[in-house]
Amino acid sequence: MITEMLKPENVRIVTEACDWERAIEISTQALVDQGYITEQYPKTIIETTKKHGAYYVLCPDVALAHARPEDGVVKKQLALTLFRHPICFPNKKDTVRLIITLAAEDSNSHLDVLAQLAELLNDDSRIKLCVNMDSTEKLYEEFVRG
Amino acid sequence: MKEINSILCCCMTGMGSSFLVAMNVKKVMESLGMEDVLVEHAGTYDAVPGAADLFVCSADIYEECARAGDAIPLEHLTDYEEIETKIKAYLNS
Repeated sequence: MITEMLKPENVRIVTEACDWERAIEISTQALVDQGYITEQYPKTIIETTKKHGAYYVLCPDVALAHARPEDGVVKKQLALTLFRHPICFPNKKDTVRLIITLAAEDSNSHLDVLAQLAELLNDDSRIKLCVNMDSTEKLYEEFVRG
Repeated sequence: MKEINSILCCCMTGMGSSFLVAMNVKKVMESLGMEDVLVEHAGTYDAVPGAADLFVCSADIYEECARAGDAIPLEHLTDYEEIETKIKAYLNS
């Protein structure tokens, strides 16, 4: 269940314009603060992006920011950050407004939640709805709907 | 049409995006009546020759996967139509 991995307070809307590195820091900050991941996790995502590109941009407007369990995951968790200003990632044509931060503690235990998220991610109209949400409460509701 | 037994969907880490791709690849194979094809997901480190008959991957890691065998690069990892079109084109090529 998504509700087991996503807390309402970890859904955030960011109004400042920022570059992709800052966007990764912002979208992982809550999970660092709460001890779900270490500070190494965003650093690894940023380093890997510089070497191999933004491998987690899924489609226009949506990224699933993540590294591997050994890169600093303490306990599995999700965070959701909506950026009012679209973020440009290296070598990507599409800009991103919604960053889903995934901390997975092993290869399998988060897959049921990802399968639920896939329903939303495969639906362009729901993505459009999400990126235009005006409150974190509504955004949370739309996500936990599955 | 090409005969294949297995497809490995790959992304950089094997944790997230590759699973989402695999979900859509399974749906495509079912729609083609080819649900017997084994569809799995993994990171680039598992994209080695012989690991699968076909690799479906994000465009970022296409070179690594193409070294392992036949590979299809995706621009949008969650775009069902793109996956369907490219797999059909591959099977008919």
